[in-house]
Amino acid sequence: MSSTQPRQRRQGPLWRIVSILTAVEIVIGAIALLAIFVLVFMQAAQRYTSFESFAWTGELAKFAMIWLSFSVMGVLVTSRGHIALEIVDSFKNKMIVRVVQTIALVIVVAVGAGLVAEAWALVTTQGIIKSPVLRLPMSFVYIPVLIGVASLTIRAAIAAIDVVINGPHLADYEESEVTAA
Amino acid sequence: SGEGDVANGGTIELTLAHSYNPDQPQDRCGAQVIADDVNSADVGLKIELFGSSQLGGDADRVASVASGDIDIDIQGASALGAVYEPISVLDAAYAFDDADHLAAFMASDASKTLTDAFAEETGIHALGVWSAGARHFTANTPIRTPDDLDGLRIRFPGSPQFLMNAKALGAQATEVAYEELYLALQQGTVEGQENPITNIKSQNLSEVQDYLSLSAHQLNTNVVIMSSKWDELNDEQQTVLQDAVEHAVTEVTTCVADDEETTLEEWRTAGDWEIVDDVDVDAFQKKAVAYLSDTFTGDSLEVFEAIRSTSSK
Amino acid sequence: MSLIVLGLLIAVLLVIRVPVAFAFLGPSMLYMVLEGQSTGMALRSVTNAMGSFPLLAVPLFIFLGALANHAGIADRLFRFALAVLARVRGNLGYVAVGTSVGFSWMSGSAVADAAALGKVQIPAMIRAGYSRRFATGVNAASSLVAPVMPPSIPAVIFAGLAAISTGALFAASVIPALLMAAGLCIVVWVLVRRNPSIQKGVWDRAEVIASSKGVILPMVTPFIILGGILGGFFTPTEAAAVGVAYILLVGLLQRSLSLKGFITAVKESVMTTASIMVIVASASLLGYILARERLPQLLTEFFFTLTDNPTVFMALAAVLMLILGTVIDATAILVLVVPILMPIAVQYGVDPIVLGVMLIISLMIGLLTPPVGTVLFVTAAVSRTRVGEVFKGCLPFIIPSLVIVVLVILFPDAVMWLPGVLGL
Ligand code: NA
Ligand code: NA
Repeated sequence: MSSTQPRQRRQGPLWRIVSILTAVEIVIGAIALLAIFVLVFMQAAQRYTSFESFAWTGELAKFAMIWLSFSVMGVLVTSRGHIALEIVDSFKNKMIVRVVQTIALVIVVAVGAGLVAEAWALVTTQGIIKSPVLRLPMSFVYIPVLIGVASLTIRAAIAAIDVVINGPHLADYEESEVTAA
Repeated sequence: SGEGDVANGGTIELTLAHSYNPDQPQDRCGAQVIADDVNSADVGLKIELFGSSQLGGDADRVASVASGDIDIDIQGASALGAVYEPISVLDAAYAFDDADHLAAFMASDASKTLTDAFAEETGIHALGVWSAGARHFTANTPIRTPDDLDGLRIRFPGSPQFLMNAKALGAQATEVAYEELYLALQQGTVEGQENPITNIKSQNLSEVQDYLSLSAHQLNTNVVIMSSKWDELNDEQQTVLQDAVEHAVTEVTTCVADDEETTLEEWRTAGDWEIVDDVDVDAFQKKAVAYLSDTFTGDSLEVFEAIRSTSSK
Repeated sequence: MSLIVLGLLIAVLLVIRVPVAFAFLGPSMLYMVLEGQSTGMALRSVTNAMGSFPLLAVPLFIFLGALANHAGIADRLFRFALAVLARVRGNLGYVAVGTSVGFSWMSGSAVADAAALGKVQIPAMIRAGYSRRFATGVNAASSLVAPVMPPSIPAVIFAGLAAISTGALFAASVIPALLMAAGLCIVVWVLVRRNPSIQKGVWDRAEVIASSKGVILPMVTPFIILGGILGGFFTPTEAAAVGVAYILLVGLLQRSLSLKGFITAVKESVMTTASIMVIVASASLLGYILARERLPQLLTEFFFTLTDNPTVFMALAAVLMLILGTVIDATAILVLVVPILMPIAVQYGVDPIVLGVMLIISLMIGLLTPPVGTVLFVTAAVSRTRVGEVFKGCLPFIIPSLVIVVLVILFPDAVMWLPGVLGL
C-alpha cells in the first residue's frame, strides 16, 4: 500500500492558511478534551471532599464533547481521518478514482452547506432555550458548532479542488492520526 | 407535517411525544387517553404517539416543541424552566400540599396568569398539569426529620429547581446521571436519592436501599404542552383536545394513586425494605417554604406565593 | 421521502466513498427538509446525541489508551510477556495474545491496539522465523480482545443507547474476553505445531524480574477502573477520568511519558474521538427518522412472525451483525440497531446485557473482514503487508470469536454469572 501522493501538494499559501486553521482547531479540540477530563474528574473528586457539589460539571463536559467533535470535524476532512468505505480507491483506473473522490468531496461540501444553514438557524432561534443546569442560552452552545461546520465546508471545497488538480488521494494509514474505531 | 394536511383530506396529524415507558401511568393513563379521546372524536384531528424518548431526550423535545417539530409533549415543570424560569416553581419543594392542592391551583386564576405568561414568552401552550406522584427519599437510614439528612450524599437531578429544593430541605445534593443511579446507590457512591414511587419501582431501587421515607416533598408535576400548532386548530378541535387533556389529568391522578397503593402494598408484603410513613412533613415543609420564600425573586416568587395562597392548610 | 429511497441514497453515497458520517447526514437532512421539519432540527438532533453523559467515557477511554501507548506501556508488556514465555515453543504467538490481553485492560478499542502493538511485534515475529501471514493474523485478531475486555468503547456506547449499567456490561464481558484470548492461544498452538523453523528463546530470570518492574504500576489501572466502579467509588464515566489521572501519574513518576508523547496522545485522542462521535451523532439522526417512520415497530412484528424463540432471534441478530459488520463501521451499526433490537430482545426475554455482549463480539469480527475492516487495514499498513495476506492470516483466528458468539447465544446464563456474583 505505497503512497503515490506527491509531498509538494501540501505547499503554497492556501495550504499555509489551512495548516494554521488546523492548528487552531486542534488546540480547541485539545482544550475540550482536557476540559472533559478535568470536569469528570472533579465530579468524582467532589464526592470525597467537603466542597460543595457543582451540578454544572456534567453539563459543561457534555458541551465540551460537542465543541470537540465539531471543531475537528473539518480537520478530519483535510487529514482524511473520517471513516469511509475506500473500495473505489483500489480501482486501477486512477481517472475513475479521481472523479469519484471529487464527487464524494462535493457531496461533503453540500452537506456542509446544509449544516451551516442548520447551525445558523440554531444560533439565531435557540436563544430562548436555556441549558438545563447552567441556564446558558443554547444559541451560545451552537456558535462553535457554526464555526466548525463552516470550516468543514471550506476544507471540503479545498480538498475537492486539490483532487481535481493533483489527482486522487490514496490511503496511507501511516499518516492517519485516527487510531481507533 | 405539512404534507399530511393535504393527503388526509384536511385531517391534521399531531405528534405527541414523551419520555415514559408503556407501563408508566403517564403513558398508559395520560398520552393514550389523550390520543384515544381525540382520535375517536372525529373532528379532523389525529394524534400519533411517540413514547420512550423516541423523539429525543426531555431538553431536546422542549426545543422541538418550541420550533414546532413536535406538536404535543409531556414535560416535567422543571425541564420547562429552560424556556421560562417561573414555570419550574411548580416543582418547588412543598409548594403544593398534595394533588388536590395542585388541582385547586390549576383551577384558579393565578394558574391562568402563569400559563398565559408562559405562552406569551415561548409560544408554547400549557394544556394541563398533573402530578406523576410525589417524590420521596430512599436511603439506607430512615429520613424522618431534616436532621436525618445530615451527612448523607443524596442524588438530586441536576436542574436548578431540584438543586434549590435540596438546599431548601437541607440535603447535600450530589450529581449522578439517572442511567448510573442504580449502580451508584448499590455501590454506595451516593447514599440516597429521591424520586416518585413509579420511578423508584421501575429502577428496582428497593434492591439497593433499605428505607423508603414517604416525605412527599415535591409533586413532580408533568405539563402537557403544545406548540403554536394550537392556534391552527378550529374551536371545535381545541375544545376536543382540551377536554381530552383534562380527562387525562383525572385518569393519571387516579392511576398514580392506584399504582402507588399497589406498589407500596407489594413492598410491605414482600418486606423488600422498610417504608417510613411517619416522616415529619410539617417540619420539612416549614423549613422548605421559609427557605424558598426568601430565595425566590420576581415572577418566580409571585408564582410561589400564588401557589401557597391556594393552600387549604 | 420513503425509507427505501433514504436507504438507497445512503448506500450509494457510502459506495462512492463519501465518509460514513456524511453519507448518513446528507440524505437524513434531505428527509427532514422534505418532511417539513424546521431548519435546525437535524443538527440539534446530532449535537444532542453527542452531549450524553455516559458517552463522555468514550473520549476518556480513548485518551487512556493513547497515554498508555505513548508512555511505552505496550512495549513494556511485550518485553515482560516475552521474558516469561521465553522457553515456550511458538512463544511470540502467545506473547502477541498475552500483550493484547494486558493492554486490553487499558485500551477500549481494537484499532488502537492493532496499531500500537503491531508495529513492534510483527517485525519481531518475522525476524524470528514466523510467516508474515501468521504474524499479521495473530496480531490483528488478538487486538479484538481490547473492545470486549473492559474498558470497552463499544460497551460504553451500547450501555448509553440501551440505558443499562455500563458497569454490569463491563463485568459480563470479562469472561467472554478471556475465552477469546484462550481460543486465540489454541489456534496459535495448532498453527505453530506445523512450523518447526521458528526459534525459541532462553530463560533469563534476571530479564523476567527486570521487565516485570515496568509493568507493575500500569497493571494496577484495571483494578482502579473496575475496582472503582464495582467498589462504588466512581461511576463508569468517572472511572475513566480517574484512570487517565492514574496513567498520567505513572507516566510522570516513571518518567516514561514525555511532553511530546503527551501532546501526541492528546492530539490522537481528539481526532479519534471526533471521528467516532460524528458517526454516532449522524447515525442517531437517522435513528430519529427511523423512529418517526415507526420502523422499530414494523421490525418487531416482522421478527415475531419469523420466530417466537429467543435463541433463534439472537442467532438471526448475530448473522445480521456479521453481515452488516463487513461493510459498515461497528459504531454506526450499534447506534442504528440498538434502539431497534433492544425492545425486541426485551420482548423475547433476552437480557439487554447478553444482547450487548453478543452484538459487540459479532460486530468486532467485522473489523477483520473486507471490504471494510479497519483493523485489517491498520495491520496491513503498519506491517507493510498486502491486505489480502493479512486477511488470510486472520481467518483461522476468527474461529474462536465465532465460537464465543455461539456460546453467548446458547448459554446466556453463563454470561450473566459474573455480574450476578458481583450483585450487578
Ligand atoms: Na478494553
Ligand atoms: Na469488515
